[in-house]
Amino acid sequence: MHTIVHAIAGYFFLLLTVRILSRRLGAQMTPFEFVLIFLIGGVIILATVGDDYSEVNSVCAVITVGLMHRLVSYLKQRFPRFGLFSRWDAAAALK
Amino acid sequence: MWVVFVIIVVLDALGVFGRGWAANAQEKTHDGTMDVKYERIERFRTPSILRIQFGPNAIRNGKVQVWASESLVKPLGNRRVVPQPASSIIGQGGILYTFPVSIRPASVEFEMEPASPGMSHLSLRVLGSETLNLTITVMP
Repeated sequence: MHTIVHAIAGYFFLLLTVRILSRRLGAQMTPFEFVLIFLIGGVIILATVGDDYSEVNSVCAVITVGLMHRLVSYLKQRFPRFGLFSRWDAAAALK
Repeated sequence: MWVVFVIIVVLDALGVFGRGWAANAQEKTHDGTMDVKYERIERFRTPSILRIQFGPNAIRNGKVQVWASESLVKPLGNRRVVPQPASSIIGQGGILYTFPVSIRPASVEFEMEPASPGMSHLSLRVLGSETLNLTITVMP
């Protein structure tokens, strides 16, 4: 339960951070911005797994993040204004 | 496939894979000497607590003597006992811990960190009382 809650919070925090950091597409990001994203991801994963180093915990964290991404993608399609939360669709949502 | 993933996450949140509501368990002896709270499903290399609450029948001459099978140490990876026992004697396929007790309720905590996945059988007994057999599954 701890992992799932932290994975969900971590996903949204990363989504927000990526949006604030840069408005460019992945291919146009600078190498340092990529390093920054990996660094943030690495820091978030520490809080996500906590003191539980089991395979089960890792698998559940990965699945939770995958499900969150799927859910956010669905919500963006269903409710275009939800795209405001994601930098890639910000322009589309404002149209 | 996503439905399967959702099911896995829901089961995990409930504690079916350990560390949750479904994983918590409690066993008592019929004579009331021991009340054990533990996790029936644990996770590999992840700390967990086994707590023994002693009844009035368990305390004799100001001390409690608890015997635990050796599975407590090897597969279940007992790291710490709180409070520290006055003595721990190895024998009879396990360890005999002696705790001085001055007031009730008295309880002891075993901090465990399983070293290998699989199923383990743990036996606990207050000397002169019945044995409590616990089955603990360690998830990988």
